[in-house]
Formats: sequence, C-alpha cells, structure tokens
Amino acid sequence: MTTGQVIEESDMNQQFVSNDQITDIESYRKLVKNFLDLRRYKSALYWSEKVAVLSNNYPKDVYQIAQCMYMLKEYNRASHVIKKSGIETKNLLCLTLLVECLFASNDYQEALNLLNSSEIEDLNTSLHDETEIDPTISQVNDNLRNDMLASLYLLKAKILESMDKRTLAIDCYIQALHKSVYLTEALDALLQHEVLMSWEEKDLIHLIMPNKQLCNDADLKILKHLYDQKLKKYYSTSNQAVHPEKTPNNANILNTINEKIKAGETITDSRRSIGLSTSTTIKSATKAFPTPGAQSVMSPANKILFDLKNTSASAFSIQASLTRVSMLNNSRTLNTSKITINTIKNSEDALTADNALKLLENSVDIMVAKAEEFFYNCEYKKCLKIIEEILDRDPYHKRSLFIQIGCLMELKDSNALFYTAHKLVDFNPDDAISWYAVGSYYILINKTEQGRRYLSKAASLDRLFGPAWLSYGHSFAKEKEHDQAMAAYFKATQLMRGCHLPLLYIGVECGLTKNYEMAEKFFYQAMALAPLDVFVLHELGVIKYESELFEDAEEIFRSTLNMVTEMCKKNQEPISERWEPLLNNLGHCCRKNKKLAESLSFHTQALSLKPMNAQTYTSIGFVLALMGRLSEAVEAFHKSLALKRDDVIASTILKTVLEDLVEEMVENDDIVKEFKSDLMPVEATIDASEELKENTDANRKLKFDENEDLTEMSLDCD
Amino acid sequence: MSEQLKFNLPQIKTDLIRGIKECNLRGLIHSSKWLSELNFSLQIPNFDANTVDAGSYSGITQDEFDNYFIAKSYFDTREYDRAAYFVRNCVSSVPRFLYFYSMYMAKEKKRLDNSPDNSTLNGSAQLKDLSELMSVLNEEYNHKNLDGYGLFLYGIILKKLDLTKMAITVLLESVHLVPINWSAWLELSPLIQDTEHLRGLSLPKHWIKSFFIGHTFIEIFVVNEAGISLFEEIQNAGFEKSVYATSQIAIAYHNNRDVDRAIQMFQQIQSVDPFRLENMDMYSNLLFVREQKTEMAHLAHKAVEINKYRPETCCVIGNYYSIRGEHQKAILYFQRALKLNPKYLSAWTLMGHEFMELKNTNAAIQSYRQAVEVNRRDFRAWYGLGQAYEIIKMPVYALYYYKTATQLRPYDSRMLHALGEIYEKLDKKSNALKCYQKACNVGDIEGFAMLKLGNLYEKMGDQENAVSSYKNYVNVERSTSEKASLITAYLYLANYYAEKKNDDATHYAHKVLELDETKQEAKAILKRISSARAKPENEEDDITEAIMELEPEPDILQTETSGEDMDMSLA
Repeated sequence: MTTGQVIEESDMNQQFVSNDQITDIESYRKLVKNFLDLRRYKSALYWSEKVAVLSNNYPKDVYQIAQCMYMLKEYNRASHVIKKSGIETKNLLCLTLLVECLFASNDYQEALNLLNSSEIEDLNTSLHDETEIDPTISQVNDNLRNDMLASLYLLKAKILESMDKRTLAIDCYIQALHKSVYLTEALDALLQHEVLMSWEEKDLIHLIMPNKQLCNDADLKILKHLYDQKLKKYYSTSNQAVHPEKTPNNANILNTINEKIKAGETITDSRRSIGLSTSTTIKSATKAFPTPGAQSVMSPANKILFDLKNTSASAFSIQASLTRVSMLNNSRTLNTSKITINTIKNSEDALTADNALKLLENSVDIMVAKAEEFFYNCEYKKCLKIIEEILDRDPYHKRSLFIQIGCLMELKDSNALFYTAHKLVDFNPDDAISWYAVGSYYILINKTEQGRRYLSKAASLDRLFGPAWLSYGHSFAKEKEHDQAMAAYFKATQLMRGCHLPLLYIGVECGLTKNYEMAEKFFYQAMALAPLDVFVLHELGVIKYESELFEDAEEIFRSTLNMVTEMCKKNQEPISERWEPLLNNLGHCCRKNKKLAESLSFHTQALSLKPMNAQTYTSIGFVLALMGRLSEAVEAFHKSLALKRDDVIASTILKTVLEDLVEEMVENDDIVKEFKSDLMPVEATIDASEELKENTDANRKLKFDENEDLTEMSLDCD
Repeated sequence: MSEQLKFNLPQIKTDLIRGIKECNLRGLIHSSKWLSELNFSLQIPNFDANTVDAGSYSGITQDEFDNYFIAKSYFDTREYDRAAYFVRNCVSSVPRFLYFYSMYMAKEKKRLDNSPDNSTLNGSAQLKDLSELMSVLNEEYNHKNLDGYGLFLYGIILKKLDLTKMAITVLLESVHLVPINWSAWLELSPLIQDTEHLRGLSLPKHWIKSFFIGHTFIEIFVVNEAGISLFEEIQNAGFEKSVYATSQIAIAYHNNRDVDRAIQMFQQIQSVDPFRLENMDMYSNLLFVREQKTEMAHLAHKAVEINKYRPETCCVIGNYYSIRGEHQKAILYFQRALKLNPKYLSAWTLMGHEFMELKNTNAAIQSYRQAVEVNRRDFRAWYGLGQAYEIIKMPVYALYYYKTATQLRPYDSRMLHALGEIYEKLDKKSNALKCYQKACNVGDIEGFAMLKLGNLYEKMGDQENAVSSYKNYVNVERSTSEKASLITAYLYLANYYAEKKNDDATHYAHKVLELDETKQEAKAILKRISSARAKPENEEDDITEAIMELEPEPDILQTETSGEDMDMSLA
C-alpha cells in the first residue's frame, strides 16, 4: 500500500511538473484505455483504480475497474466492485457487466434474480435522464441502448439455458433478436441446435427483419440474404416439392400423407391454441401412469412417441414469443437498432447492393452455408472442397470443422478424420466438437466401445450437442441394439426439436424391430417437420413394403423417384448413385405387384447407377426367373454369386431355377418335343406356383437385406 | 466380306504413322505397339515417312504444353497420381485424356499392388474407385465433352463394371471417331455375342474394320474358317509380313484343333520374331497336346530368358510343369501369371485343369468360374465346370454348364458326349441318345460316343440298335486303343449272336478271349455256342480246338493315350 502511494506521489510529481501542477484525470483515463487496447490489463487495472480514487468513484471509472477485472478473469472481484458501488441499479452497462461476471462465475441463480428484480426497460429510461451525472455513458443513443438491451437479453437467455430452462431461454433469444437484428449470436443460438421448426425459422426471420422505412433497401437485402443462408438446408430442397398432388400419378397416396401430416399439425396447432393448459394436462396424464405395470406395458418406442407429443408443449412458448414479437412489431417505431448508413459518404466505399452480395459470397459464413447445402445433398466431395478452402483461411472455424467431420465420416476417410480429431483435441480439449471428432473416428474404424465413450464425453461437455447423440444412436444401430439406439435418438429429438433426422432414425429402428405402425407414426412426425423430405418418404415406402402394402409402397417410391428426378433435372445432373436403393426397392415393389417388365427395368437402372452389386443381380435374376426367362436368370444369379459367394438367397433360387431350366432344356431338345408337349403347360404352372411359394420365403430374406441397405442409406443423410 | 479386299496401302501407311503418333501422345502404348507392328510389316517402296504430316502435338494448347510434358513423363514413370495432378486443370483434348487415363491407371495399379492374393477379380474398394471415375466420365459424356479417346476410356470402365450394353455403344462411338485406336476395337471384340450381333453393328468404313472382323470371327469360335480366310485375304492384300495376321491364323487353327498346322504357324512366327511372347502360351498348349516335352522345355527356357514376369511366360512354364506331372508347381506359375494380369483368361482355365488333376474340385470350380467371368466364351472353362460339378454329384448344375459349353462349340463331340452322360445320369435316356447320336455324327474325337450309344441302347433293351452301334464301334480302327470297353462291346455282340445262333458269335467270342479277365466268360459263351450246335451236329471238338488255338495268342497291349489326357488335350 505504501509503495503504491509512493509511486502515486512520484507520478503526481511528474504530472505536477509537466502540466503546471494540474492533475488531469482525463489523461489517466486515456492511459487506462490505451492499456486496455494493448491488452495490458494489470496495468490498466492499476491506473483505473487510481482514477476511480481520484474521481471519487465516478461510475464510469468504477465500470472501468470492473471491466479490467473481468478481462483478467477475476469475475468475483469484478462483481464485488460493481455491487459495492451500487451503480448496477442505475446503469445498464454496469448491470450487463455484473450479470456477465455472475454468469462467468456460474452464479446463475443470483444473476437471474438480479435480472428479474431490476426493471431493465425502466433502467434504460432512467439512464436517459441521468445525462448530467454520467455524461460518457449516457451518450449512448437509442441505437446503442438497443444493442445493450439485446446483449442483456442474450445473457439472460444463456443463463436460462445453463439452468436447463430452454423454452424460456428461447423466448429471451427471440427478444434479444427483436431488440437488435444484428445480434447474430442470438440467431445462431436459436438455429444451431435445431431448436426451431423450419417454418418457425422462416417466421422468425420474417419478423425480426426491420421495417423498410427504418432501413434502406440495400441493407435489408444483404441482411436477408445473409440470414436466409443460416436457415435449414434440407428444407429448401424438399420445399420445392411441397405440392406434389399436382402431378397426376401419385395423387392418391400423397393426399392421404398430406392429410395425415396436416392432422398431425392440427394436433400441435390445437395444442398451441389451447396453450399451456393442455400440455400440462397431458403431462399430468403421463404422470398418472407411474405404476410399474403401466410402464412395462408401454414399449420404449411408445413411450418415446408419447413423450414426444408432450415436448410439443414447448412449441407453445416459441409460438407465443413469436407472436408477441410480431405484435410488438406493429407498435415499434424506433426501438430496434440499425446501422447508420449516412456515415458512408465516400463514393469509393459505397457499394451497390448486388456488388456487395457478390463480394459477400466470399464471406466464410456464406461459404459454409454452401458447403452445408452440398452436404445435405450428399455431395460430400464438393462439400469437402469448399470446407478445405474455408479451413485454409481459418483453420479453427468450428462450424466448418463440424461439417468436415461429417464428410470424412461419409467418405470413410479414417486417416483424415484421425488427423483432424487429433488437431482438434490438441487445440481445444474442452470443446465438445473435439471429442465428437474422436468418437466419430473410433466408430468409423468399428471400435464402437471407445467411440461411445468419447461421444458421451462430447455430450457431457456440451449438453445441447445433438449430433453426438445421433452418432451414439448410430453406433448402437450398427450393432443391432435397437432399443438403446432408440433411446439415444430420443435424447437427440429432445435436443434437436426442429430436426427431423432423429425421428427418421427412430422410425427406421422401429421398422427393424418389426413395429411397423409405430415406425409409420414416427415418419409422419418427421414429415411434419420436413414436409415430403425424400429420405423420409423413401423410408415410409420401405415400411409400407414391410407391412406388405405393396401398392402403397410402389406409389410412394414412385413419387419419391419423381421428386428425385425433378430435383436432378433442376440441377442438370444425372441421378446420383445414392438413389440406387430407391430404384431397387421400386423394382421389388413392381415385382410384388406383378409388373415384372417394369421391375426389371428399375433393377437395370439401379445397376447402371451402382454397378457390380450382387443384390441387384440377384433381384434381376429373380425377376427374370418369374418371367420365365430362365437361362438369363441363371446368368444373373451366377454374376451375383461371383460377386458374393455365400449369398444364400441367390444360391437357393438358383438351384430351383436350374432345375426348372433342366426340365425346359429336356423338353426343348428337338427330339423329345413332340411327345411331351401336351404335358408341358401343366408342369409349368405347377412349377410356377411352387416357385412362388419358395419365393415368398426367399423374399423375406431379401427384404431383410433391403432393410440393411436402407438403414445404411438413411444413415447417410446425417 | 465376299468381294476381294483391296487396301489403299499408302493411305494405310499414312494412317498408321499418324495413329502411332496420336497414341504415343496419349500414353496408349498397346495401341501404338500394335500399329507399329503393322506399320513395320507394311513395306512400301518409295514411301517417305517424312512426307506424312503427323500433326505433331495437335490437341495441346500452347499454354498447357508444360503441364502436359511433366504429366506425360510422370505417366511414363508409372507415377499416375502425380501425372493426373499436374494436368488436372487442363482443358485441351490430349492433356484432358491424359488426366482421366492417369486416374484410371492409378486405380488399376493400386488394385494390382493391393491384391496379394488373386482370389477375386473385384475388390469392393476398387469398385468404388471405378464407379467414381465412371460417374465423372458419365457427366462428361452427357455434356458431350469426350473425344474418341475419352469415349474409349469410358467404354473400358463401363466394361469393367459389367455394364455391357452401355460399353458397346460407347466403344462403337469411340471407334467411329478414332478408328485408328486398335485398343478400342480389341475391347469391343469380346463383347460381341455372335455373328448376328456382329452383322448388326454399324462399323465405320475403315481398313481397320477388316482386322476387327477377322479378330472377332476367331474370337467367336464358331466361324473360325471365315476368320482364317479373312486373314489370308488380308495377308494377300499387302500384309503378308504381318506377324499379327499370322498369329491370328495360328490361333484359328488351334481352335479348329488343327494342331499340326497351328504349330507350324507358330514356328514360322518364332523364326520371324524370335522375342515375341504373345500367344506363346497357346503354342505351348499345342505342344502339350502333342506331348513334345523337349520342345516345351526349350520354349519355357527361352521365354524365361526373354521376360520372366510375363503372364505368357508363366503359363508356358506352368504347362511345362503340368506335363511333367508337377501340378503344384504348375499352379504356382499360373497363380503368378494371374498376379501379373488378373484377367488373363487361359491361366484361370489352366489352373482349373491343374486343380482337377489334384482332385481339388472346389478350387477348380473357383478357377473356372473366374475364367468364365473374364470371358464367357471360354468353352473349356464351362466344360471344366461341368466336369467338376459332375464329380461333386450335382448333375443339374453340370448339365447346365455342359449345355453352355455345347452352345459355344456345337460341333464338338466331347461336349456332346459329356452332355449325353449327364442326361443318362438324370435318367433322360432319349435326350442322352440324341446327344450320343449327334456326337457320332459330328465326328467322334475320342470314339466313345458310339460305345456309349450301344450301352444306352442295351440298357433300353433295343437290341437291334445296340448291336449296330457296337458293330460300328468295333469297326472303327481307333477304338482298339480302349481294350476294356472294346471287350464289353465284343462280349455283348457275342452274347447277342449266340442267342441268335449266328456264326458271328464265335468270331466275337474269340475276340473276347483276348483279355484275361473276361476269358472265363468267353469260354462259357463258346461252350454255350458249341452245345447249341452240338445238338444238331456234334462239333464239340472243333470248338475246343478253337479255344486251344486262341489260347497262346499274345495280348497286344497298346499304350493308352487319348483317354487319360482328355482334359488336357482340351487345352
């Protein structure tokens, strides 16, 4: 203390000497600011304390002290300084800093209490009045105040989220965005965890967009362009086909699907309109079954579905906050922040909006969005190319790293994934994504045990990390542990409310456990989120096939194929290899529906998409056998067996077909023809019926294999 | 093909020189080798090659020269990935082709390097790689960005992925655009099923078409003669020195089982081009059939001296070990051949034969199957498959395979004979009968068919036909080689005539006496005959005398030749 004084004195002496014995507090303030800018926080703290003493705890100086302490990560100290001075009740900036300190030191409850006790909106008006007392801080105009309010709401949302009050948190995020459109953190928080349904995302963007009178066109254009890029990628592709009823050939089934989806939506809608009361009744209803008997009756899948319905209660609050925002929207005049454009006077700096958009194409976020779009369209190579470009500029860009992991998983490039994971762990060992990468790597090299360990580590580091749970589920699904897989997927549904993928996977798992009805329900749920997503439709078709509704299945597959081909036409590219299962499934359906020629053509198409596939050859052989083109069938089976030697189905059918063929050969040998010809038709029919019997048996196996295929397929789109 | 072939030789020479240049630019070494061979054989007096405008470096734009050269040199040193990397952004036709071709070669090389055991032709990873390349080329194809050479590459890949129809159309397009690229023709040839198909194709009007048609004729075994005559015409039209034409004729003779002429042709080729290894395995097969062990040893040593690591060399050595009965070693060499070229057809088939020798039926089946995969027209492999399945008692399968083999070689009695046997096993006697009859009609190579026919008639109780068949059998000079079966025939005839009280009985019975095992039986028959005769006449002494007379007659033991080596002589 004494030394401090000594220094102070000497310093004062200096001041004294240089400035004609007038101590200029302002110059000290400048010093502090400079030190802060230079990140010399300790020195800054030292001098700011001196300034505060000199100015007799002028609020601005106290704030500066706290700021320095915050920068030095001494959060408790900082909060103590602010609390001691009591300025947080008067000043918005100080309040924000205090809350931030409390949040950083994990005092969530206290922070929340503070926020709830002080009237934030009032505070800022009072701040307005205190211009004279606090000239520096009160200089904030409306604009700045809104930004401050927005960041305070963001803080509140973060705190709520940390306290697991997610719906309230979402509400706060929306309010924050409402205060300032430019607060991208809030938007990211809303979007990145797939909390919102896709239509809600659209509504949100629509609502937070500033009015035209407040903002000039160019700015609006840029803002809209940038924010639209952040929305869900797979929605846009499926969106194009929202009205497939218009195409004539698939009217029937799609109508019913649409009705079901609508029904599902109306249920949620009604819940929304009734509001919290219904959801609570439902919740209490679930609580009314705590008896073990009732629980054991309820299958795990059933339970998940049931719980899922309950979670839609959260839709209420989101919808409510959105509507609230929209209502405010009408009344609001100047209460959102905006960029003051008039600062740009220099004509050289001025850009036309189109030019700006063009230049922004090079912005990292836009590039990531493009990469994501490729990813959702399963164009992993193209996606990876963009990602590599981004990582070249910014090697630690988390979002791109995340996409990169996904791509490498899909491309099964274990070496690159290994390297990425290692680098990630070295640089941010406390980040969920690093351990997610490690876990993914282990799962890729089929060490599921370790893989799961690291994934759960990732999930524990970031409790909102849905993808880790999805991967966790996949690892179980790979080992045919359907129940556990479903549990993991369900966890993911809770975290990723607006994402249809977990629902899709649960549906697939249900299908694998032969629980077709349940699977269908999940698919409808998934479709409610992503209307007519081709992957979901495809899976639905599989379920229809499994439950032996072949006509329906065929129609669904056909409409899926239509959508796919339309999409491909639009992008002017040939149908991708990944739709080979779809074509094969369509082939199976056609075969079941006795459209053998069509079936054959579908299988051949599938073969041209993915050549040398043993299963496709088997299917072709099967169809040919049913068509009576036995020798061709035998050839196809041979090809299949050459590719996959121990294929039971192919070899069993081959055997019967060969026997039939021998019969045929005997009969077709010129000499024997005449005296056997009358017998032939009878025998042939018997053969056919026998074959059919056999076939159904073999077919069951076939279907099973298909399913394998399909799970693979559905896993693809994660 | 009926009208006389007339070639505009100077034009051909010009074409050849240009073709060599173009293929060299693109790294198509095999095409260029073939063309050069042809060019060498075509000597035109007063022809100045310098006047030919070979269009040096056409298809490479000025600014891509450097990229092209570095890529080409890497390509030549077999660093394919590296080569591809340096021309990845080039747009002009030659570097573009080099890019795709290097990618393809890189994948091929990796596959060969990565397959220490050649149990399968297609690894899944390889498949994925190729499919990727295919989809890239497919996109180029749809945008019509591929030139004739690009189409050729696309065709190869399609063919590898077993998309035959597409492959044919693409390769046809390719040969229309660049007829000089012989490799494209060569790839197209095995995809053609029969003469009808060949006639149906629209081929470009180019002198090289005659070569292709001849090649394909020989490839489709059935029209060998047409192939021979076509190549003879080609030779007469100015290519009399072409080693290729000669070797094709030799192959055709080999296919026709005209062993001596084929051997003669091969010897001729050897004297002209002593270091040529192509088709030498076929030559060694021919020597195998003739059992010229010394020749084979000489050939094997020579081949090793020329190049130890050529599939042809390995096959020659394999054959040599095979004839010495060292089947394990033979298999080792065939495997080596396959490691060098997994698509080397004859090695698969020959290895199948060796496994059959070692009674390893399953391995044999695997080998034959691969052979059939490589070329569906290899009747020997189909036949081998039939044999193998017959051994493991799956006659239905065997029937199918024999049937396929018969379809490929409708006039080969061995197939028909085997087919008949299977029919017999399946109790389809009438079919079997038909097969044996046909086998006899088309010229019975082994001479068994007639015997089998007799046997069958005997079983069916049709004595008249049985007798005539047996008689036929006995009368054919060749059949004397197979003593035991000969005796059965004689025995049956003797019995039959004994019943009929015909004098011929005695004649046949005497024949039966020639073999020790059946001597008692023969005596019994003779006794029966004599007793039958004794009743009316009493000539007992004559017969005993006859027996005594025959008794000291020495057995003429003949060495067995054809029967044992049946599988091999197929080779």
